Amino acid sequence: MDIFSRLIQRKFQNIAADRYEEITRRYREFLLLPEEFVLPEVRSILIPIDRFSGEIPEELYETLSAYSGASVTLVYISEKRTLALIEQTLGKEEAEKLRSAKMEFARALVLKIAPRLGELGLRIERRQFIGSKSDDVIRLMENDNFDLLVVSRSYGSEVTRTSPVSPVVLKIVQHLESPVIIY
Amino acid sequence: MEQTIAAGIAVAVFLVTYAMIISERVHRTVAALFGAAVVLFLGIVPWEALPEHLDLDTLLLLIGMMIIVNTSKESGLFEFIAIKTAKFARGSPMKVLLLFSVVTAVISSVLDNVTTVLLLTPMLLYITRLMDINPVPFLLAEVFASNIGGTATLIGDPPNIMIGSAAGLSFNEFLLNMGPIALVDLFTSLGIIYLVYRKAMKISDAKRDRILSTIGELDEADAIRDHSLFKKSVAVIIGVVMLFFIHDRLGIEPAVVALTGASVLLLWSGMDPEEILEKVEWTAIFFFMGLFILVGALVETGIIDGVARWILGYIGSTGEALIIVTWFSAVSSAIVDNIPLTAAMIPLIKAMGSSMNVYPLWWALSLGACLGGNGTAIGASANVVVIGIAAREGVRITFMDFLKVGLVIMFATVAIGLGLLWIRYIGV
Repeated sequence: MDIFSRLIQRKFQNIAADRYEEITRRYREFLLLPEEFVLPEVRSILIPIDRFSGEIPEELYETLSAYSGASVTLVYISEKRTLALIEQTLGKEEAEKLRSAKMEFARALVLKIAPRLGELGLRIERRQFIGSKSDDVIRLMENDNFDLLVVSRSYGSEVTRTSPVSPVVLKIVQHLESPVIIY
Repeated sequence: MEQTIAAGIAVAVFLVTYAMIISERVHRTVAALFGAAVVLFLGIVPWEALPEHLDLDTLLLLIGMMIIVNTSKESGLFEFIAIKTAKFARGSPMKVLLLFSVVTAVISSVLDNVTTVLLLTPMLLYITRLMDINPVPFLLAEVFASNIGGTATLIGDPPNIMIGSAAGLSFNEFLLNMGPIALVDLFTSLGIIYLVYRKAMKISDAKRDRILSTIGELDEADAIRDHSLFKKSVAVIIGVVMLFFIHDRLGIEPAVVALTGASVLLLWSGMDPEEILEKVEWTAIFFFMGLFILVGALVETGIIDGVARWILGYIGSTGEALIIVTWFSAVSSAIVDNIPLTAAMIPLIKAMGSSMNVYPLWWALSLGACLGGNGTAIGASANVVVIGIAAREGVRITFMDFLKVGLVIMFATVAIGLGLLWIRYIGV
């Protein structure tokens, strides 16, 4: 009877294979089995911040409260290329001034956000370094096995009317397989 | 070319092409077009005679309905219907079996069977997964319901479109003659499925509660991707069905109704015609064209007339012809695709019309061609599609699994249909 199975598969391929793929894709958008309704377990969250990030909205705090007990890493990455460009054009001293100012800004920003997150039962870790905002966030997510990325849509640069998320965020989400919340 | 040689070539090309179609080694459209090209190239079907063999009514009706379906599909209408049906079933296996079969039959009576099962099978598999129950009886019921539903109307199944066009039968004539048969056969087939699989259709109350809560969370509104198109599609489909009811009184062909509906929907929805027309199953349309030309070669060379005379030599009455046409087309349809079978049978019945009343024979052909498809796994496209989908989702329905139930259902439904036709046209 194997001959019939092959015949049926050939006929199915000829009649409807492509149409079926399209239909199942549509169904997948709103048909979930009970086990798929269960939220994935989140134990570690990465939140990259910078001067473009802006305020964390109240709704996001509410969402994060669902992950009470998880650890949150607030990371501030100073863009290496920007500092190198300043060094080339204005000199080492100016670049150092800018780096210090950025680090100070980062500390202030973390101090502002951390207590609020702590109130939600989240454990806070802080990191700041010089690197690439997009590449290093992707690397951290993959190497340190974070379960969730929470990022501002304007992280890394201003958003424009034509692009609702910054190019940095766009690059990050295109490279990640883990869940992402964009605020 | 000498008539005898031409007839021999026409028969040879016809048989080789049909063998290629059955084997499915070559795509059936390619096989049909190649056969058509051979008989045209050799002049067996003269170029001037081509328009009379190409059945434009059938081709345009199919194209019109395909445009309507493809445009409506974009709105999420059919997924909406599937979710609604699932909610109505309320987690009861028997209700799922009954409601999905009825909905499948109703949709199949308006749309083509393949589209119907393609749209409903994912939902049916989802529900059976939720119920943690063997999906095979539900899938088989869906297949049988789609083939039975397609029997009920002029536009339900391609053989009916072809028969309607060839014999000049109206939508209402089809509905009055085949509708009652389809209705009785639908519940007969459900009864047989229930008898065979009743033990596999029991679930605990706890499981039913779980299903109810999961299905309760489904929102049919989520399925609608375009609310405006959804409303327009429903309006146009209702309008088209209404027009089908009165097309003979208005003096317009069913193909005109379908094309009008298609053009109104395209104009009203503002959808990109290129996108929609791309999705028309041109392979199916060209398959029909190839078949019409191939059968045209048999008509041109006198083969059909000869076979009709030979058959008439053995048949003494319309009653005998009714039985022979019904069972021959049913058994053949279980083995061969019912479209090429119908294409070959139509001119044969027309030729028999010179010496007997063939009006009941059109219904016999429709009955056999549509319901014979239930006999085997390869008897109809809907069967192949559902088995193919099941295989992809890890559910195995073997040829024998299908045959055991399919043959019983085929013989029962055809016998009931034949009995009803006999009572109506031959008398008790």
